[in-house]
Amino acid sequence: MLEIRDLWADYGGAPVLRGVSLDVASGEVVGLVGPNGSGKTTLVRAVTRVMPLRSGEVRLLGEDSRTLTRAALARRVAVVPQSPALPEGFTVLEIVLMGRTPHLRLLQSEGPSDLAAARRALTQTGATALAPRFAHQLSGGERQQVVIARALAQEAPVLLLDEPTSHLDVGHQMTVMGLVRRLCQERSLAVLATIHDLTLAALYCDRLVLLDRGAVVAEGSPESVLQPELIARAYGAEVTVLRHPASGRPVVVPLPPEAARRPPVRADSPQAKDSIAALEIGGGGPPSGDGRRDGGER
Amino acid sequence: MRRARALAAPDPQADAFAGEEAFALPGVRPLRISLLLALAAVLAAVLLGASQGSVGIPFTTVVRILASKVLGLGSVTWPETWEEIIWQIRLPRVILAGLVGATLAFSGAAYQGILRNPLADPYLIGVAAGAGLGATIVLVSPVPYAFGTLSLLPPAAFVGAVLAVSISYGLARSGGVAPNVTLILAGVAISAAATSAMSFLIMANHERVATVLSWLLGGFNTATWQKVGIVLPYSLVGGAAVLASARFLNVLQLDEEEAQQLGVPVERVKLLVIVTASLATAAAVSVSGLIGFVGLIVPHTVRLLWGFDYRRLVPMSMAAGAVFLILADLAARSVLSPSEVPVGVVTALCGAPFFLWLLRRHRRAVF
Amino acid sequence: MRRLPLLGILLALLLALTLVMAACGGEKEPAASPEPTAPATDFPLTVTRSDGRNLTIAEAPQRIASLSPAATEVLYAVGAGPQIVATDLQSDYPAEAENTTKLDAFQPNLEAIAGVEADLIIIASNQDDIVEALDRLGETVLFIEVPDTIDGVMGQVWLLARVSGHAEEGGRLAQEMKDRMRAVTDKLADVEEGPRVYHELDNTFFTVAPNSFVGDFYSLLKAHNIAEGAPTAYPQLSQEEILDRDPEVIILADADAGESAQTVKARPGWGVISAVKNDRIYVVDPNIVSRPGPRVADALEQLARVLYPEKFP
Repeated sequence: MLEIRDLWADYGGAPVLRGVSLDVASGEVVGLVGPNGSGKTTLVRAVTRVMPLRSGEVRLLGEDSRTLTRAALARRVAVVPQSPALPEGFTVLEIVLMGRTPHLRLLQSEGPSDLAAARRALTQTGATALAPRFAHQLSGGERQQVVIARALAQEAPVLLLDEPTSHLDVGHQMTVMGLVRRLCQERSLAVLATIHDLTLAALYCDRLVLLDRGAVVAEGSPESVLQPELIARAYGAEVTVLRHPASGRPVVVPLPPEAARRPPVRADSPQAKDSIAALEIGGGGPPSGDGRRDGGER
Repeated sequence: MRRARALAAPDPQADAFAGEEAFALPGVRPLRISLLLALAAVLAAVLLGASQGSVGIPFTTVVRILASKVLGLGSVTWPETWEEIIWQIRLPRVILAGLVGATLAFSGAAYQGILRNPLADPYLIGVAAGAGLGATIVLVSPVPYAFGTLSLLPPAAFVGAVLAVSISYGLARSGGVAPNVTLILAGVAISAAATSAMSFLIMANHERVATVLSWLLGGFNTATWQKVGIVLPYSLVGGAAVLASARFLNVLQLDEEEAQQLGVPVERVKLLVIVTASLATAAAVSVSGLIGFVGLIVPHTVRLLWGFDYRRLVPMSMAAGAVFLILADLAARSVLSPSEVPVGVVTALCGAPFFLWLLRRHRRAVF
Repeated sequence: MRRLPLLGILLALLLALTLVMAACGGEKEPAASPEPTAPATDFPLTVTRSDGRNLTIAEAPQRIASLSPAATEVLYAVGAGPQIVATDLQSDYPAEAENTTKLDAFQPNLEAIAGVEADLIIIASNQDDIVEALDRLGETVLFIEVPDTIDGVMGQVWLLARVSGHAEEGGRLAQEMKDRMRAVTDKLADVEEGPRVYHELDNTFFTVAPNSFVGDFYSLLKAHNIAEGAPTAYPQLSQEEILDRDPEVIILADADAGESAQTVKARPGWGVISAVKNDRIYVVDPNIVSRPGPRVADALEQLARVLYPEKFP
């Protein structure tokens, strides 16, 4: 549904995106990870054409994004921004109804079908109770619900989320990501989410794309992308990658400074008797699951 | 604050919702009622303005004169002077005040929406300073500028205003985009330049100070049907364009990027609104001088009373602006009768305390 | 020490340059002044200025700078023209005033005024405290504000004549003016109330009230000024007032803005005014009427002709 081909973009100086290519299919959640400044937000902006592209192509449902009008583009891809602007004086319902903008003609006002779409979106995000409240008075978690509802009301097949969980506590992080997965499946959306928490990304995404300094350095299942060497090269940090006991997904934890100086432990070494060492991926691992992704624990 | 009444159709899942009221469409039906009331208020103001003046003409006579001129009813039983006063002097004056008030108000609302700045008014990016300079050049030049019913003054003010705004916009625009902050800065710079040129001209021709100052302070003293005809087309087109863009203006209150991502052609909307609102303001200013305060305060007052949705804000601002300026002009010509007080002085004197009171009320309600 | 001669040469050059500039600088010299015609016994003279201070003039001034158009007219009228070296930008009558050094009275330049080296400076309006500044420089400053009544004009004619050493001519001029004006008012002795008049200062309907200088003319001529009762001396009337008060004569002082009898007739609604119906709309030179100088007699006669055509053909 979303095809990005060899995208190059910059802000007038050095390239920020260097030949990025990736695909997102309907029904899958792709996590875009990478260090700060790697170009994650820029990619979202480039796809939605709010910034000019140097070269490359973005295809939405097979059509080149450059041939689409703003409204047509907005009917195909919806964005949940990182720090949404929620102006004073508008209720949550009014904000969510703004998601219907690309479906309305010039002098047309919102009609019953638009109201129904907004209603559905609010129900699905569990934000129904917020509807009559003023948007600018909400807490962080509630705001996130509202902008997701607005993006849903747009009824676009492609959904881009820019750091949807960065301002949220762990409970809300799980709620939001769980919601995203569920919606992806219920509505067969193609979801691309930039996430800075690698463990969260691994848990909720079907595939990961690792971006470093504007280029894709790894792509594939969470296990294949979240390798300590790749992470070290991209983030400049030494980490340990463990296996989550329940889901089998990678869990990325920082390596303590002292341990960094020790060589990596092999599963068949004497130190492997250490229970933690036994959890490391690529070192044998526990019997449950086979390390590949499954539709389990949410 | 009034909330829209529910009009959602019965829904089997209605119980799951937090109340029908929450799901009403933003004020469509109540808007119709509000608009009718607003229109009635404007007509009442026009009638009031036409019936009051330094020359006392009985109300019933005024109504009969209007009926006779507009509908052709009744026979003439009043002195010719009264008819001329009502039809040629008072009525065009009241209509012009209403038109200019509505124009300044909807332009102010439009600018505030586009620039997302509560301090924006229609004069911000150069209209006032440009018009002032154009008018001053004509007023101080030794060349006569009045030719019977034709005068060079309105066209000069209009051209000055349009030039100033165009230069501001041109300076701010790069790569097809005119960012708001750049636009405001350019407008302030151009306004400063025009104002200094104007001040220099005034000082160099000080014997004309009274005339120029009188024009700058604004007034409807010299209103004619011709002037109404000058402003009307610009106001109609500008008003229609801003009304049509009202829904986009709502969405624009989000980040400009978010609005783009929601399908709004942001730069096109900005250009359309700025061009039409500026032209309308330039036309208004060219015939009535620089009447301050209306463009800034009326939209805010309407917001406090009727909310932030531009689909309600724009039409209600038009009506409120018209009524406000008609009444202000009435005060301007009645307070020191037979002498006139500049309308701009009245708008500032009346508007400021009223707005402060409203602000206090709003703060208690919200905080 | 080889630098010393060079420094000395530079200093000498600088000094020479300064001397040359001082000698060649300044505006063109006026014509040589003739002998004063006032009796020597008139001086020294002490007069009281508008700020209450006294000014003593030792002898008849030979280099007068007049920063008041009205004073300029008076001085030329009493024969003090040859003594005038500088006038202000607004002094446009008589034509000889154009040949003098021009100074700005509205935004006075202290250096320019002092640079003229006048032995008497006449100032009518203390802009930017110029009077005090010139006092401090030791200049002889006669600060007299313009009179706001016609009687006051007589007094000023007399004063300026004495101060410039032309007491006799001054007396003669004042008497002549009085006689002419009395001739006019005498003819109006039998008039109880004159026509209603509207004097237009500009095309946004600024006019003159009876308590202004121009209004004084109309009072003398027993005309009924329709601006009577206004709170200020130069009020702005509303059009409907003008229509209602129905002036019989309209005097236009804004011809330079393009107004004329034709433009007034074309104004919407003005057709009901008597002055318009009877074609009694006249243009006057605003300077004659509003400048408190020796031409007030001309102004009075002109206005009398316009207001009472039967009496003053």
